[in-house]
Amino acid sequence: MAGIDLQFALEQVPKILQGVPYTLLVTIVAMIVGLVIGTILAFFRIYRVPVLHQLTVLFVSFFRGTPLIVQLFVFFYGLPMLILSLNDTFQWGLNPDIMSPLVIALIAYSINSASYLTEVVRSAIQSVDKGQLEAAKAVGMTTFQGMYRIILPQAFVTALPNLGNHFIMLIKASALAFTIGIMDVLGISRVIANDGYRFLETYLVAALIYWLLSIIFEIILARIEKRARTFEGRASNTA
Amino acid sequence: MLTVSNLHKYYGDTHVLKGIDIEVKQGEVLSIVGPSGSGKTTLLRCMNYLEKPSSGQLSINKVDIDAKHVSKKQIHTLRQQSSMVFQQYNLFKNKTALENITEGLMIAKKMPKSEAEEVAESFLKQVGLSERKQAYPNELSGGQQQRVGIARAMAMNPAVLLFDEPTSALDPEIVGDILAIIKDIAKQGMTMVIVTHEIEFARSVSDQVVFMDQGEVVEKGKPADVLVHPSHERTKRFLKRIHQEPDFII
Repeated sequence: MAGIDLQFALEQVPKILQGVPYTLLVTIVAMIVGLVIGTILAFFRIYRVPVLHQLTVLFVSFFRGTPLIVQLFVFFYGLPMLILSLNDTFQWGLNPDIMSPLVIALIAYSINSASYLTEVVRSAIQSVDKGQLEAAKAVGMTTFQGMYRIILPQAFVTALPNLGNHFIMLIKASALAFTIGIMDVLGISRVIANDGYRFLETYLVAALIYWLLSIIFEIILARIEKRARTFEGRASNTA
Repeated sequence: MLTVSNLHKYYGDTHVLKGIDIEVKQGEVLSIVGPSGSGKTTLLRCMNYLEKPSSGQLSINKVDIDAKHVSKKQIHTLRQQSSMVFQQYNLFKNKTALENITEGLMIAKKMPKSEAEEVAESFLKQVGLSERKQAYPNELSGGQQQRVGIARAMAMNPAVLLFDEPTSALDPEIVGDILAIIKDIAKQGMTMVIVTHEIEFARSVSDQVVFMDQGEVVEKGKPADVLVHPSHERTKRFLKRIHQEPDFII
């Protein structure tokens, strides 16, 4: 049994780094789309919109209660079939190939992410003092304007630590996308490892790359949070 | 200017406002006093629809509303006739003192930014806070926050200013400053409705005083009549209790 081949490991670094854009693409798209959908669903829950409220509860329960990898497989086999059946029913001519593995991964991760972020956003909005929206209405703003300009910015700051955790979790969860053929960091690593029979070296490099990505984003997120909190924390500096 | 007729409000089965009738003329100051839980704050909040009345009519500055048949648009128009100063200030926490005032002007009144800032600065000056315009609410004391709250409400140039116990959350030594500012505004001829526990202040600032208890208007009239020579037993009892409350000095 040979030891770790450092030379081999180093040679693989540039190759595996080529997977970083895919890892980041899945992570960032899932974060942004998940946050947008999650915010909309959070409002369905807060305002208890009939039917949509119940559907949201069901949606959140299902996507938080089933493994992500199972969801990936269901989307992978299900989405092309969905397009075919839509074509059949409505006589559309959609090409099922638009559902490439990457598109499927982006959809699956976004929806999964939305299910978690719905609850994060909901609790953050509800933590904002009710008087804030009342004051917005009292100066003549509509509920929507008050939400958009006053409540959501404050809720966002409250939610930031949770959003940050979710982002770091997504970086790591994105690795599962290799199972449907995405050439992200782990996807490329698997190909290299299988070719060269150097499993340990390759996966160690992959692990270090994920770790480095997480550290970089933790630093970025900490900066964003510090900046976003100016309106709560500057008092001690200027007093 | 402001009329409330036969206004009722239920919370579930609890009848908290039992047919309120009130009229305030242009330039008049009306104070609403009464024990906790008498419904005075609820009544004030009904006036700009932060609470939805169960039934009754409301009219401010020729905007008439019947609580039984009211549209979102009517509510929005009604709200623009008044503005509210809150007990807990309710300044927008994510906005500076200046932005707290410009926000409503720019968003609700569609005023250009430069004009809104000019207006905001003049009102901040009036409440003596020009030098703190870039401060966030968390950086201001309670009294300063309430001054911004008053400036914000006035900047909207409402037909009626509504005050919901504006000094109840303040330290005793600040209360006088805020009351002096409110008195100043009253002298400028602003129509105002003030819910307050400060009986002495209500007596000196108001043209009309309403005493409420258990969701009803028990007595209304000139401050000297209602607060000095009340005719109803309930008013007498309330005033007696207020005057008996000792000021603790430790």
